[in-house]
Amino acid sequence: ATLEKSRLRSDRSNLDVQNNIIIYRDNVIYEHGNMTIYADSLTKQGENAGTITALGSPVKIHYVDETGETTDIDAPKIIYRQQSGELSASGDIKIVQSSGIDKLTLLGNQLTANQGVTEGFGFVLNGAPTEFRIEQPSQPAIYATADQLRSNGKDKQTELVGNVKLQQGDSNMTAAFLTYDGTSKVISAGKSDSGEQRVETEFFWEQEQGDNATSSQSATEQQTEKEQQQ
Amino acid sequence: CGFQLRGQGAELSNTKVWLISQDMSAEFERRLQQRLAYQGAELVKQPELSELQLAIVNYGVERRTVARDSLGRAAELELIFTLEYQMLTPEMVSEQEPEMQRMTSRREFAYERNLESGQEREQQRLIADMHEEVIGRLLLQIAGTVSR
Amino acid sequence: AENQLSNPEATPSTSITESQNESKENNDSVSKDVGFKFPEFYTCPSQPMEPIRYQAVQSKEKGPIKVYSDQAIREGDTAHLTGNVVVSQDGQQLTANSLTADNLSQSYKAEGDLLFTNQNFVVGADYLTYQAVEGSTEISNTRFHLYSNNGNGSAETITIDNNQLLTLSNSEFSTCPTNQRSWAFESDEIVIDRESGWGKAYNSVVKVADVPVFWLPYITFPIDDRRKSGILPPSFSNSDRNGRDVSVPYYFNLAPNYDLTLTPRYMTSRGSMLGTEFRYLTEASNGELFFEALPNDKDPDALGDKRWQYDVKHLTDLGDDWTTGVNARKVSDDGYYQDFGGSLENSNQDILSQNLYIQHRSKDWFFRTEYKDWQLLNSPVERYTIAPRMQMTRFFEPDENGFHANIHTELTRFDKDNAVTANRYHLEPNIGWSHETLYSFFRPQLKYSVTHYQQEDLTGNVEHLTRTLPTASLDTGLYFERFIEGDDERYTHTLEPRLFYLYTPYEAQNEIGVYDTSLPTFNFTQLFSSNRFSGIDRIGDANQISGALTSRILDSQGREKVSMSLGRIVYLADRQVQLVDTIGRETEKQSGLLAEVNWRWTDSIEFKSVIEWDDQTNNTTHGLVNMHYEPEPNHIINLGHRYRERLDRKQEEAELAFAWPIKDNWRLLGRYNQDLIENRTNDSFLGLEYESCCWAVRLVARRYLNIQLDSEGFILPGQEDEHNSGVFLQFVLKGIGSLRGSTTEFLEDSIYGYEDLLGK
Repeated sequence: ATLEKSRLRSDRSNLDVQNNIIIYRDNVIYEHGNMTIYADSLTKQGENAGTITALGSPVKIHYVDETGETTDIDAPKIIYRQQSGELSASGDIKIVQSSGIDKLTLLGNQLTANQGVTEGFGFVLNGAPTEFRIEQPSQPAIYATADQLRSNGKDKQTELVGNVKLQQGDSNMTAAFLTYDGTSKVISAGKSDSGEQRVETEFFWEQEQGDNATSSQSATEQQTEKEQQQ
Repeated sequence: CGFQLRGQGAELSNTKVWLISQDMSAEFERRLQQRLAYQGAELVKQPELSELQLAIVNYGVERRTVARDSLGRAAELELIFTLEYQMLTPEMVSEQEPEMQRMTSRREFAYERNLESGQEREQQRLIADMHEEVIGRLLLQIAGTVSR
Repeated sequence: AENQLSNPEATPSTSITESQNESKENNDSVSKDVGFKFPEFYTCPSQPMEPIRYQAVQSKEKGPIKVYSDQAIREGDTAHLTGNVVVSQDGQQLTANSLTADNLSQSYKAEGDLLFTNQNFVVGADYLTYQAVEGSTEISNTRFHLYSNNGNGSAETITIDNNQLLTLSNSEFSTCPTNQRSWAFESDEIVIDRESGWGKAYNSVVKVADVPVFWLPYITFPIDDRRKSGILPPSFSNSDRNGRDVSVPYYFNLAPNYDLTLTPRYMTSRGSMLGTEFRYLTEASNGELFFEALPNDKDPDALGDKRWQYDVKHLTDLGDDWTTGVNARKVSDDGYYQDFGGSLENSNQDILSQNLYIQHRSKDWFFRTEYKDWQLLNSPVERYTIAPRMQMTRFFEPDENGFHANIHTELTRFDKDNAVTANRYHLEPNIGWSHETLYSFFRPQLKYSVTHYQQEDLTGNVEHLTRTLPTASLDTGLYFERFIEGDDERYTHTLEPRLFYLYTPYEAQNEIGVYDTSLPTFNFTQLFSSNRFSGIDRIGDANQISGALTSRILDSQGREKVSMSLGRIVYLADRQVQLVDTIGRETEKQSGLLAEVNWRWTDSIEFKSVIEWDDQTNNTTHGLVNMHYEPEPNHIINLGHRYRERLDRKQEEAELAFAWPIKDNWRLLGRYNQDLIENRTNDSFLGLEYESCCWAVRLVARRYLNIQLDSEGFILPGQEDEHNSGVFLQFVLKGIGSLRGSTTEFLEDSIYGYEDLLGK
C-alpha cells in the first residue's frame, strides 16, 4: 500500500520556541491512510516532521480495514512514524476489534504495531499479563491471559503466547501457546517446543450427585483455579 | 569339671520388669509375678523405667489323643501348653512389631475313661506344672537377656 | 518464520478475576510419561504377582476433570484433544489417542488404545464415552485386570453408573493367566453394586479347561469381605452308615455383633437334620449356642429315634473381676458321634461335661460357685454330679521377709442316683517361706487340711466323718553353671540338683468315699507334688524324698536349647492310704526311675523323650519319643512312638504325620497311626494337593477306626469292619470360592502344627 498524505486539525496550536516544534492542542484529529488519531495534544518532529507524538486521556486510534472490520486503540501516549507506518504505545492500552458479530477486547501495557506493511492491522501487545476477551452472541464469552498477544493483521488470527490460560463456560485450558482464528472461530493450542508443557484442559462439569450432593461447586457459580506459578 | 555355683552369669535381682497381660490375676500371671518377686525382680508400672518389657500375648492348652485302647477309644492324652510372648529391652525397641516368641511344654497322662471321679484335678495339676516349667524358662531368658 | 517478539521473563500473573478462588495443591502433576501398560499375566508366576499399580493422580475426589494432551482444538462447545491424551478424574486415570468433549452436553468420548484405571482395576479398550450429568461411563470391547486377586478377562461393554453400579455385558472372567485358562466364568451380564457389596451374574457358564461344566442362570456373590447372608460352601459325602450325606449351610448376618448359621443336612439312610449356630458378642457377654436335631432317625439300629446335640459356650463379664459363664455339651445318645461325628477325634469323643459357674478372681481373693455334670458315652460308669461346689481362696502375696500363704476353703455336694451322696466341707490353710538366691532356693511349706464329710447312703442314714491332716514339705535346690564357647555364641551349661522332702502322717480314710480323686499317672509332675493322689478325698501318708537332677544348655539369650532330667522318689516309709481297701500297703523302697530329654536346638525342631524304668523288675514301664520338625510353615514331619504298661494291658503306638510340598505346586500330606499291640491301624490317610495360582484341588483317602459300641461300651454285634473309610475330593476356584469345612478341621487335628491354607 502506498502512503497517502496526512491531514491534521486542532482547535489551537502554539510554537515551542525552545525545541522549535509546533504543538497542536484540544480536539486534535490526525488522519493518515485508514487510520485516525484523536488526541488532546500532538507534536510533529524528526526528519521531515514524520514522527507524530500524541498524548491524551486517552489518545484514541480508529482504524478501518478494507473489509470494514474496525480496530480501536486507547492509550495514554502514542508515537507514530508516518514514513514506515510504525506505531508504538505504552501504559494502559486497550484494543477493541470487531470481526463479524464477534467483538475482541485486548488489554496490555506495551504495544508495537504496523498498519502499512499488510492490508490489516498487525501488532504485538505485551502485558503483565495481557488480557484477551471474545464476546460471541451464541457462545459463552472466552476469556484468556497470556504473556503476549500477536496478530499479523492479514488473516484475522490472534496468537496468544506464553503462559496462556483460557476459560470458556465451565472449562479451562492452559498451554504454551494458542491461536484464535477470527473467521472460523476455532481456538487451537499445542504443547511447547520442548514438549515440556502440554495442553491442560479442565472441565468443571457438575456430576448428578443424587442424594449425596456434597460438592460445594454448583454449575452456575464460576470457579477459577488460582494458578500456582511454576 | 568346671561347674561353679551361679554367680557371675545371669542374675535377676533388682531388675526392673514391665509386665503386660490381659488378666494380671490369672493363675499363670499370678505365679509369674510371684516368682519374679522371689528372684528379686521389681515390677514397674511405667515402661520408661523398665529394663525389660515382657508382654504375655496369648497362652492356651491343647488336648490331643495320642493312644487308643483295644476298642479304639482314647487311652492316653497329651496336654500341650503354648505361650506366645514378646520380650524387649529398651535397646531392642524399634518401629516394627516386636518378634513373637513361642514356648511349648507337653505332659502326657494315662486316660481312665471309666473312672467315676474323672481326672479333672490331675489335668489341673499337670497344667499348673507346665506353667511352672515355662515360667522357669522365662526367668532364665529374662536373666540371660538383661545381663547380656 | 514468525518474528517472535518474546517477552524475556514471564511476570507473575496476578489473580484474574475477583470471583471466589480456591488454591490448587501443587502436587497434581500428572506423570508425564504415559508408559503405563496393561499388566502382562501370561503364566502363573512363581511367587504371588503384584501388578504395578498405576498410581492414578491424586486428583481431588470431586475435582474437575483434567485432560493433558499434545494438541487441542476448541470450536464453540466442542473440544478435540489429540496426542497422548491423559484424563484424570475422581482418582481414576484414562489414557487414549484422542478425546472429543462437548461442553453443552457435558460429555466426552475417548478413542484409540485406551487404558482406564483406578485403585482397583485397569481396563484396556477401544473407546469410552462419559456422561457427566448421570456420571455414567461406557467402555467398549474391553479387557480388564483386577489388582486384588489378578482376576482378569474381557467384556464387550463395561458401564459404570455414577461410580456405584458396574455392569459387564457378555464377559469372561478368571483368576488364571491368559495363556493358562484352566477355568473361566463366562456370563451374559454381571452387575456389581459397590454400595451393597453384592455382585449378580446372569446366564453364566463355568468352563474348566474350556469345557462347560456348570450352567448358572443366576447367582449372587459378595465382592468385598463385609459379612453377608448367603449360602456357604455345601459339603457332600457318602458313607455306609449315613448313605449320601448333603449339607448346605446358610449364613444370616443379622447384625454386626450377632449372626446365625442354619445347616440343613439330608442323609439318605437317616433323614433330614437341622443344625443352628448362633454367635453373639455384646459389651459384657459373648457366646456361641449350637443345637442340632434329627427329629426321627430312619436307621433301625440307631440308638433312639430322636437324635440331638447341643454345645453352649457363654461368658459374661459382670465387672469388678466377677464373671459368669456356661460351658455345656450333651448328646441324645451314646452312638451320636459314631453316626454323625465324621472324624476319629469326634467319633471317639466320649466324655461331655455341662458346667455353669460364677467366679470372682482378684489379686487377693478367688471365689467360684459352680454346678458340673458329665455324660459318659459308651460307658457303664456314671460320674458324681457336683451340685454345687463353692470355693473361696484368700491369697497372701509374698511379703518382704519371704512368707506367702493362702487359705483355701471348698464346699462340694456330690450327687448321684442310687449311690452314696455326700457333702464335703474342706479347709486348707497353707503357709510357705521362700529364700531364693542366684545359686539356690529353699522353700519350706506347711499345710493343714481339715475335711468334714456328710455321706448319705441309699438307706438314707447320714454318716459324719472328719479328717485333719498336716503336711510338711521342703523344696530345695542348687544351681551350678559353666560356659561353653560355641562357634558364634556363648552357651551356658547348667546342673540343677533338687531335693523335695514330704511328710504327711497316716490317717485311715477308707471310710471316705472317692468322689473326685484319682491316682495320677506317675511322671515328673508327681515327683514334686504334695499329695500322691490328685483330689481331696485321699491325702496320701508320706515320708519320702524326691530327688532330681536337671541339666540344661541355654543360648546367649538364656533360651533353653536342651534339657535333660533324671529323678525318682525314695520312700522312707510304706504307704498305707489307698483309693480302695482292696489294694494293700505299698512297700517298695523307691519309685521307678524317670528320665526326660527335651531338645529344641533350633526353632524348627522339637524333640521329647521320656522313660520310666522300674529297677526292681528291670523293665521299662513307660516310654515316649516324640519329634515335631517344621523348618518352614506347613513343612511338617511329626514322628512319635509311645509305650506304657497299664494295669490290665500294654499300650504301644507309633505315628507318622507329615505335610510337605513336593514339586512347586504339589503337596503331599498324610498320617499313619499304628496300634502295635492290637496290630491295627487306628487312623491313616494320604492327601494330595495341587494348587496353581488360580485353582486348587485336594484328594484325601482315609481309613479310620470307628468301632460301634453300645451304651454300656460293649462292641455292637455284627460289625464286619471296625474301620470307616472314605475318599474326599475338594476343588476350589481361587478368588470365587473357599474351602473351609470339616476336612480342614480334621487335617489340622491330625497333623500337629498344620494350618490349612489351600485356596487362600
